Formats: sequence, structure tokens, C-alpha cells
Amino acid sequence: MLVSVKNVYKNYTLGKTTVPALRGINLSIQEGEFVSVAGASGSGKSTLLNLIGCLDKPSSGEVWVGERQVNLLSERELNSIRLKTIGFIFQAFNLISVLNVRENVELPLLIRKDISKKERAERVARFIEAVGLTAQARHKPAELSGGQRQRVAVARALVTHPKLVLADEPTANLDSKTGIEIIDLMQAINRENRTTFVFSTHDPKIMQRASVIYHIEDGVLKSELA
Amino acid sequence: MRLLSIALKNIAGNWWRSLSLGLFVFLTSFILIVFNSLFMTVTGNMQDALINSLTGHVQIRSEFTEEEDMLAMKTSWTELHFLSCSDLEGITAVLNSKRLDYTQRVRTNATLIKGVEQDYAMIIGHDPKEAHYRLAFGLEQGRYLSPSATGEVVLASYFAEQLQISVGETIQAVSEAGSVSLTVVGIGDVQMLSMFGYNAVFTDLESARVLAGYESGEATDVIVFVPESDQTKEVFTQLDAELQGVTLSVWEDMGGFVFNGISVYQGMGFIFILVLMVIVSILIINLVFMMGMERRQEIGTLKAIGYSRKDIIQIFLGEILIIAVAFCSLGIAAGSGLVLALSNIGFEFGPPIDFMMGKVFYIQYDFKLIFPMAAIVLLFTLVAALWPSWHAATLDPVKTLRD
Repeated sequence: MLVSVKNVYKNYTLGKTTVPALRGINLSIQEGEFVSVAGASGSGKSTLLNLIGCLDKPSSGEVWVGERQVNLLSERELNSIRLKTIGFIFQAFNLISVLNVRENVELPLLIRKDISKKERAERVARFIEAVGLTAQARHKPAELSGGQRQRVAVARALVTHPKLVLADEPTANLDSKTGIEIIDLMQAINRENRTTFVFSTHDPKIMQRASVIYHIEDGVLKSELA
Repeated sequence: MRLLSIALKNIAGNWWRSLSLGLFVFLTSFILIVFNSLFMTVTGNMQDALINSLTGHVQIRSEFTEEEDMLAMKTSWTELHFLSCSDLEGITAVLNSKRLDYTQRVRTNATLIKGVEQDYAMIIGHDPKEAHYRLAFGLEQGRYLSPSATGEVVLASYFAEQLQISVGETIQAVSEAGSVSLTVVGIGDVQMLSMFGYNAVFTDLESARVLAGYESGEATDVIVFVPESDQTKEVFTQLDAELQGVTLSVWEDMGGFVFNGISVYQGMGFIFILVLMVIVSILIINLVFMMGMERRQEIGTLKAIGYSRKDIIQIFLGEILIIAVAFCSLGIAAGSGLVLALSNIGFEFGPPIDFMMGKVFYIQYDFKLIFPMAAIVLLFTLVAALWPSWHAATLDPVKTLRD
């Protein structure tokens, strides 16, 4: 079991009002799965991904990544898990505008003291090639198309060899053809490296590509399809 | 070092913000160098005026005298204990053996009389060959004392006005011990000290001895000049060990209220630096805070991929340190260049500015200013940047990514 979410509730406080975002979520994700979290906007998809990604903590319940109950860990330990175990892909790409493709992909490795400069360079080159951007390695994000930017984000997420990649609406800012290409790329990497992918989407064409689909509605897990 | 590469890229990528921050640092360094040179020069000029006209670097006097009698206006110089001939023989033997520059002085009070006009004055008699007083006493009319003549006097302009006298005329100096006729050969003022009410009257030793009632060979004190002011303590220690039955003081202990005036200048300098640095710190805090706000998404992304607060603070402070070092160097170079260029130009001032600046002001540059000024600028910049950097590093990644 790579991820286990047990009876998780997450509430946000807006002034005097408490808004429940997740209500009693239970799910588990096996290593090597290609998982889609589907649901309408505001259903709680991003909140669930943030909890699994150790960016946020549940109001109650347990979140396990591998052997560790991450909702009990310190900020330092969570940083380490995000750095070594989890890769992130965002809807808005979230590339650093002043860095070129190579530098953006290299970003997570810069703070990994266990990886030499030579290995860093090799990994970066390998993943830029894997996403088909070798020719654009010195381009800044502003010089790339939306699809190319998301490929850079995929390479950045994978360069640390994470067990789990979380992608929050990775195709939402792309046209449908490019969106399918990105999902194909993620799926190919999933099959080739057995890297677990969990992505959120509300696009039926995209969610159909997943091996497991979780449907969320108003913070409640409605169905699980395989 | 790895994070510095990100910092460098951010500086280039956000060049407008970097330039704004750099401009603050540049102007601060520039202003600090120029104004400190100004304060340092004014303070140094005042110290020189005090040393050259009154105290020397080290004073040797009777052991029964007080430290600040040199400038104590309420103390009558007529009542001062003085050095005997034998004291002076011993003192001059030691000073000559050390090849030190010195002069004997006879200090006394006398009434200056011209016709029906008269005024009470503090008279300093010294060896007319002594040239240091010329560095401090700015002549408006006439000349300095002749090295070979006696019976001459150089007057402060205050007395010239009070007694309605001009160069070439004769005045009578009268004390309880005697009287002498003195020919006025020069009129002027001790630069900068005249604003403290110090109105100098310089004459030769023999004339002053008559007024003080001293025998030939007696003097009130001996003042010693050292080549560089920072050698004062060393010379003082050596002389203090060798000379018995006399009291020694350094100029800083004799300066009295004039030294307080110098302290006021130094205090003004410190306050100026402090106010400037507080203003700059507020501007830097604001600017770095804005940098953090503008880069919320970048900070959220970095935190999501595993960067710690410490890593993000390092990136921010790295950027600020690089900008600060670069622009501080430029500011110091530009400020130093300006001061060095101006140091050859004498600025002439009339009343009342000449009281503070001297009649002709040459700004001086001291290379020793570079490191303390650079350290102050860099320290304030980094300290000012610390809080907004920490604030940026503690942003909630969930909120920043959602924005």
C-alpha cells in the first residue's frame, strides 16, 4: 500500500463559519496505479491531493504515505517526504519564470545533498529527453507552449525518482489534444517505471485513461471504479 | 552555493526590483562615505585647531595644576602653578633626547589697553619660532610673530574690534605683575574654536613672563607635538615614565568644553548615520516584503517540491546580499571618487559658516572609512531583509498555490 486515507475530515474556517471540504474519506492506492480523482469544481479533489501530498493536514483522520502516518510528522519530515517520495504537477504549471527548462527540472535536485553534480546533470538531461524537450532545454517558460510547459512540470516531478506523482488538474489549462498527450506521457511513464500517478480532473475523456477512478462529491467519496 | 545560482537568476529576472533595492543601497553607501568624510574632516579640523593653538598632543605642567585649566575660562591663569628652571631643564633634556617637537608656554591673564578702550584677555606666550599655532590661527590682517623679535602680539579679531586697533598700532598689556607694550602684527582668529569664545592673544615668551611675573627660564607648561595623533598615547606613556615631579596630560583630557564640541559633531555624525539607516531599513523591509508577495506562487511551488523555510530564506537573503555587495561597492567607489575629487578644491566660507567649517575647507578622505561603512550598510540591509524573507518563507503553500 503506497497511500492510505482513513476516515479523513478537513474543515476550513472562514471567519465564524466552518466549511467542510472533506467528510470521512477512506481510500487506498497501490504502488504502480494510475489513479484519477474525479469530481466537479469545489468537490474537494485539490484538498484531498494536498493532504496526500503532505502540503496540508487533516482536521481528523489518518493519512499514510508508505509506512508513515504523515499527518503526525513535523514540517522538516514532511519537507523530506515531499522532496524524496512525491512529485507535483500543477494546473498552472508553476514553473519558475526566470529559470530555463533545464534549471526548472533541476530545481528539486539542488537541495538533495545525496546527489552529485554529475548525477544531477545526467538525470536532468534524461528526463528532459523523456518529455521530448531536449531542443528547448535552454528556453524560458515564456518561450514555450502550454503543453511544453506541462511537460517541463512532468520532468521536474519525475527527476527525483518519486514513488508517487500528484497532478492537480494537469490538463485544465491545455486544449483537449494537448491534454491527452500529457496524460499519455504520464501513462507511459507509469507503465515503464511503475511510478504511481494520482491526478484530479473533471474531464470524462481524461479520467477514462485511469486504472482506478475515485469520484468525489461535496467532500464525500461516492464511488470507486476500476 | 547551489541556491545562489537561483538567487542570481532571480536578480536578473526581477531586474526592476533588484535595481530599486540596489539604488537604495548605492545611495546609502554614497551618502555615508561623503557625509562621514565631511564629519570626519570637520572633527579632525577642530581637533587640529585645538592641538595646534592650545594643547599640543601632550602637555607637561606643574603637578599642582588641574587637568582642564588650559580651557577653563573661569580659572585665572595668573594663579597657575608653573614649572621652575630646573624642572624645564630636566623636561627639555628628555624631549631633546627623543627628538620631539615641543614649545614652552607662559600663560597668564592681562588687561589690554588702547587709549580709553580696554579688555581682559588670556595671553599665551611661546617661542616665536613655534609654527604650529599658525596652522590654527587664520590671519585676516598682517603677519604672524617674528621668530627673532620680541614685543609683538597677534590678536583675535574680537579684541581688535573691542579696542578699535589695527595692524601696526601698539597696545599696553597690564597685569598685577607688570606691563609691556606690544605691537600688533597680526589680527585673525583660531579657526573653529572662536565660536566657543576662545579669543587668542599670542605673544613671545619674554613678554608673557613679564606679565606673569616669572623669572627667565620659567614657564607654565611645555606642550609636545607628535607627528601623528595616534602616536599620542605611546609618547605620553614614555614621557610619563621618565619625567618625575610633573604632571602630564594628553590633548583629549585637556580639551574641556571644546572637546565636548567635537563630541557634538561626532554625535551628529552618528545620529545622521542612524536616521539614514533606519529610513533605508524601512524601505528595504517594504521592498523585500513586496518581493515576497509578488513571488507567492514561486514560494508555494518551492515548498511543494520540498524546499524548507531555511532554503527559501537563503534564496531571498542570497539575492539581497549579492545586490547589497554589488551596489554598496559602487556607492562607496562613487562616494570615494567624489570626495577625492573635492579634496583638492578649497571651499571658502564666510561668517557664520566659517565658525563651523573654517575659512577654507578641504574635505579629507580616509580609506579606513571603507570597511566600517560597508559593514554598516551590509549589516543593516541583511537585518532589514531578514523579517520579510522569513515572512515569505512561512507562507502557507496551500494558500499560495490556490492563489
